[in-house]
Amino acid sequence: MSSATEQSTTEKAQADAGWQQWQVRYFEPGEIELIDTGKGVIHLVTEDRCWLDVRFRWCFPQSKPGRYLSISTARDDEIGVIREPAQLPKEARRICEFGIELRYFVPKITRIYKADSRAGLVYLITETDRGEKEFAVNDPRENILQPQPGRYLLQDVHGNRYEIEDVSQLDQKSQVEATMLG
Amino acid sequence: MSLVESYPDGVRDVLRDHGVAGEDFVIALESDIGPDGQFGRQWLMATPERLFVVQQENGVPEVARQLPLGDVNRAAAESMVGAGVFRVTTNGEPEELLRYSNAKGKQFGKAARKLQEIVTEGKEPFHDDDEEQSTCPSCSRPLPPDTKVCPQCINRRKTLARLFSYMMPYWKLFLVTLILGGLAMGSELARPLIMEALIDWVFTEQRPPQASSLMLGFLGALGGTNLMSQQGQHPELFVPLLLVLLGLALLGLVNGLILSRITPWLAQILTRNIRQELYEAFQRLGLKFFDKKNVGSLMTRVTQDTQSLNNLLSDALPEAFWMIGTFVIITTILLIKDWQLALIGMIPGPLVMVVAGWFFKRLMPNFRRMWSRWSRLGSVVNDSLSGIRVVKAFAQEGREIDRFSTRNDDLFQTGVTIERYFWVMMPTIGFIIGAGTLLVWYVGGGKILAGRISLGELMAFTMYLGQILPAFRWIGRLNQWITRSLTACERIFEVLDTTPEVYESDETVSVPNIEGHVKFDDVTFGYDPNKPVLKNINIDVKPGEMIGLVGPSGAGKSTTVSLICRFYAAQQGTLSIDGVDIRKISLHDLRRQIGIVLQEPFLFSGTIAENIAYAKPEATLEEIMDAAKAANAHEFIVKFPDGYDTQVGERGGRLSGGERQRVSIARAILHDPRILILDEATASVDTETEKKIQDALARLVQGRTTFAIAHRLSTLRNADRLLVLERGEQRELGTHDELLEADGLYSRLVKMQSEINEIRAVDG
Repeated sequence: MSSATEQSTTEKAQADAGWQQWQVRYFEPGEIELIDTGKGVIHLVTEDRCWLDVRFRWCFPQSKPGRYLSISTARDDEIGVIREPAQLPKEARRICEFGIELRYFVPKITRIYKADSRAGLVYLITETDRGEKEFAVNDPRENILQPQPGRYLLQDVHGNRYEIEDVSQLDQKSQVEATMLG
Repeated sequence: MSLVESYPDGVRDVLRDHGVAGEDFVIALESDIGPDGQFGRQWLMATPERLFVVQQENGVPEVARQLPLGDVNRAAAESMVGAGVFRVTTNGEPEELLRYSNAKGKQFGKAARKLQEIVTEGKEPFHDDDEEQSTCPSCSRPLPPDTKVCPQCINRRKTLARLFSYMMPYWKLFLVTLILGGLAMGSELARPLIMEALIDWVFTEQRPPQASSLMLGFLGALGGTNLMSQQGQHPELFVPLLLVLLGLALLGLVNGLILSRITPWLAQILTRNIRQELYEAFQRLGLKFFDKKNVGSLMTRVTQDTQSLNNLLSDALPEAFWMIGTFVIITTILLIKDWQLALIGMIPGPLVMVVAGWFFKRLMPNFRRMWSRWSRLGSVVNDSLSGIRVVKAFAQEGREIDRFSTRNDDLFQTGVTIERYFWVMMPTIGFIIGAGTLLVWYVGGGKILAGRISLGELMAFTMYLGQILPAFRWIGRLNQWITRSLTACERIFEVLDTTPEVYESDETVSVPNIEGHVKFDDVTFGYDPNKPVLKNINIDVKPGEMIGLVGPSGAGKSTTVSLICRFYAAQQGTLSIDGVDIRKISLHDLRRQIGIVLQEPFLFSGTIAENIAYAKPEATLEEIMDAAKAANAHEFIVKFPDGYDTQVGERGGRLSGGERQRVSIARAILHDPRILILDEATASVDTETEKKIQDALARLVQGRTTFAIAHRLSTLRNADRLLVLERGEQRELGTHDELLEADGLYSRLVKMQSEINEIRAVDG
């Protein structure tokens, strides 16, 4: 190999390395190992190193739930993304689900007992998959979203989130009360 | 916000078994999420020595975890999506203790800081005056954001009394409106009685069996005859009674005309006074107040809330006064005349209320849905028309039409629903009132035939009922209307009652001539105390020294200068100027001697001269020109047709970025501060303008303690020292050469910028 070709190859490798810094790093199912410390803390082992106390975040929590899971350090620096967490080995999948559950607390509303509007707030008394909950939503235009027909995402005055997966699947009274959601 | 809440006896007992008495707790907080991730309860309890997590097992509290605080290195409350996690690190190993919803986030954040203070043995004390309430202390319901006014618990009497206190200076006019209002009501209510007299004494011969002596006396005075002794019709009363009716109509007209001049004036003057007071209060409040609120909601208070107040004074209260007055008087008249017929006539009233209530309960959500859908439709139109170039560039017209069509259909559906409800409601209520009137005619007609009442009395009866029955439709709504207006008033009063920024107090120290010795001693600060954005900053700045603040975005550079301006106060550590704690320095003295030049200079509507002289209104024209000259602004200003009298437009929009910047530098030069802050002053201008601004700044910083923030590190080449920040932490401090030699973060940043500049140079 001539010295010019050698130089060109080195430059290309450097350019590739530089470019990789700006690319998302994807993990294939067999490339990573997750360790559950049993104390609500998860470690990640990749081919090059071990990452302590990592965090999980969905990249598309609304439009593609279940796909593209980002893993980052405790300082919020991204380590990489798992495209299909469902394809992970069983134990890794369990730890992933645990990590996700740690991060996301979005009760699903299964029944609306009462929805009432007063002084610009919508007050709701609901049954969720996490138990009964009474909460208030301010500025419904901003805090009650309808990403798809029949699906509602609500954020209460404290920043807590709730979801109605499909309003047409709720009982009749809940559907009438849901009129208040706009 | 207390860290020791009440807790159940079971929790107390189980901890007592672990040798802890209740009075020992420094933290006792209940979480609203149980260990199973369901809404539930668990407790974080801490004494100065130990930390406990208490959970419930089949309803019985049990200690799930206990830790000696001596083993804890760190405590933190971490925000998640819709919840938070309380974590501790013991012997270097992190662990989760419990979770809570965001409603409890602030409390657990404060608990983490308290624990941190304990485990660091007071080395990290925190000062926290953030007592923001998120739930109503009375009813525990969530409060609307940006206010502590609970719409459920508003004390109407107190709010009304306070509102009336604003009327006191105008009490005479207010009294006149009350008298005139009473007269107008009287003239309205007298009309059916006159009609009754016309029918019974003029048109027919049938007399009321028990004509009141008041009526007899009135008619006698009108006709000049003793009516009881005479039978038959009394045509002589015809014209006088018509004249009385005309008189009543005229009285109503005159009253209305006078009231139409006084009532709106009164309402407007009160609204004007309160609006003025509100605006003055805004100006006196500290920046911390504004941080927690968005500008839109504050604008709403000045515009919509004061309008709501105006509606209350000019519409709701007079309407309520009128409704309640007529209702009480008419009911009394009807009951006196014939209590049985009165009760029958009133039957439709509650029915109308119930039916109207039923319909409104269904209409209101649909109205809300309608408003919401209108606004969504508006967003689609606004988006696509504002971005029409992008729509066309990507050939997405069809997609935009589809989006509009979906929203338009939604609106159509809701509109139809509302119309259907209305079209059913109005005839239903009309029918109830009609049926009620028919019932009165039926029963009243029988009484006429039996000679127990007269035709005139029945006519008066039905006229009175006609006056009050339709009002039943709105009585239920009136309450809500007034509540809404009073809530708006209360929101205004809330601002008026907020403690203003303290410029002077007993503890303040006057520093009329600041030398410029600025010292950060272990300063920590966070806008949200749970998330410090500056951590343990230490720097001692000599008078006249120029310090460059360097670091990536979000490093805490702007926050550092905000602390120097005392827009906020440090939560830990001390910031002093000339050896005096900045919290004690008179704000007048401090702000008078600090000058600031921002990246996006804010100019007020007005002339260039007015803007330059903003901080020194008494400046002479020559001082203004000298300052502009030093700021390299004079040349471009005099080129304008109106020179220094050029209007800068809203936010200075008629000037270019570089021109605005130089006007703001002239403003700072004229202000002649001892401490100068340059926050990205040359970031948004071209190279040539930057050179001019740099020259102006070089003149400005002479002899002043200066803190300069710049992303372009070359602009800090004149700085005496550089403070390098990263994620709120102080990474490096030293001269340009020292930091390059240290080969740390600053050196890295310089290299990166050099590379970027080289790329630009090659591209260029």
